[in-house]
Amino acid sequence: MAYPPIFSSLMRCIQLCSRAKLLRAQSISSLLSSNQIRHGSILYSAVCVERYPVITSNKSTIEERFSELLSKLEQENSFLSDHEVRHLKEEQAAKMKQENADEESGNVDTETVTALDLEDKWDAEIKSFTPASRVTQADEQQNQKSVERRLESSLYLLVKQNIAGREHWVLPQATWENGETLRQTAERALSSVCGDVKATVLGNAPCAVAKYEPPKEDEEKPIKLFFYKAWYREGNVNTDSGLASDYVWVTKEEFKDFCHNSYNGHLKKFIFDM
Amino acid sequence: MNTANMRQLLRAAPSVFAARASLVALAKAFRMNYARLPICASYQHHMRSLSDNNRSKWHGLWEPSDLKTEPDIPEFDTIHISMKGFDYPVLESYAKYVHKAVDTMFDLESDAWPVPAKSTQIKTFHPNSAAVNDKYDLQKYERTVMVEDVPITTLPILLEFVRKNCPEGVEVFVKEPDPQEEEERYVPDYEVIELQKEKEAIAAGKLRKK
Repeated sequence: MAYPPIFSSLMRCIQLCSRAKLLRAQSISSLLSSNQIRHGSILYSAVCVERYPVITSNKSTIEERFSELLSKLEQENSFLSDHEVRHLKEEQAAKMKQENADEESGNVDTETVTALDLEDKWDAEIKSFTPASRVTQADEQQNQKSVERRLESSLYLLVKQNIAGREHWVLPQATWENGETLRQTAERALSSVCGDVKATVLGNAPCAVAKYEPPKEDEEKPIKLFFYKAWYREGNVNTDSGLASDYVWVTKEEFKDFCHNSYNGHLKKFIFDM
Repeated sequence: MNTANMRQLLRAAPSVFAARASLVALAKAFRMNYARLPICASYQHHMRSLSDNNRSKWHGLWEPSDLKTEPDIPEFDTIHISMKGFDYPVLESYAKYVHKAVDTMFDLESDAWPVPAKSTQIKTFHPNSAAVNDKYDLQKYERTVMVEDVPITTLPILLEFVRKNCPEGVEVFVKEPDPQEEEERYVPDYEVIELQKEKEAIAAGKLRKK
């Protein structure tokens, strides 16, 4: 049950926040803010903004080889298509003509479009078309702030937020305030921390929760962090609000380069890369 | 008169056991004629219990206080997952996959049906002329999977599943039932329409003749 300093520092942050609210409200009678007293624990809502893949995922070597084998089998077991039948007929007709031509005097050939002519035409059409590259400029520059990166996999938004005095790489999160639902907290986290990012939050109920129970000696409140999933629509983060000092769009494998191990463990509960 | 009724009911024996109303009629007939027809006491009791007004005197006297009329987690009545695409084998296999998953994995009541395809004709022209270069006949196929009684907590998971497994070239829409789309499922039977027109023409013709 060894939790990292993140949660104990979170606790201290809450106490600091509550004291700040106290000064603003100018109520000297209560030592702690009424918002925090009402709930036994501190509640946070975090939103996981996911940019879905734009192109199909890359096949692994085994998948490539198997897919090649399957198409080979399919072709070998298949019947001839209309085009191939036409080509065969034309070949036979050409042979017959040659044999007849040997016996008789040459006849005038009528102009017909053969199957091979069509194939040449189609080849030319394909050559004139260049598909877009699977590797974008952002990929080449390794720009982790860009949404255009890694089009074949899902990208998740991570921000560097100040939690309890220390900077951590987390999913954008906000503290629950009395009178709002957890989903509203998640949407507030999205709009306040991320800025111009537009995303559709899925469901009114959170998809995962991370709990922290402090040891009984420290008189700290337990913490609950609720996760919401959201589908990215458009926009990118601007750090003008100051709540986030930095941001990245990363794939699931790259989480470990940024987040704490225990936090990563919580994320693995609900982030699936298929 | 009674025996005539009885004979009619017995002739229709296989269909009788399908419809409860006719069963009740049979029971009533039997009750009146049980003395004449040889049926055992237990079958008499069974026939009596089939009648509509047969209720135990303790029925509804002690109702359990913890009866739930609604599920704990609210549910969506019906959700339609419609898949559209030009590539038929890919669309068909994806529709089958979704239907099977909803049935087996999510354990929800489901049904799946095809919607009539919409055909498009595309003509490409030679540059700066009206001469047709190529002509394509494309069909946009559609499949719909209907899911019933989806708990609101399961829907986001279902949405993610459908989206993550969507193959290339297939558009997926997850929405509530639309009566307009229900109309589009039915293909007009041109033969029947023609015959009806003929019938109306004949009727009009007859009137004119008079």
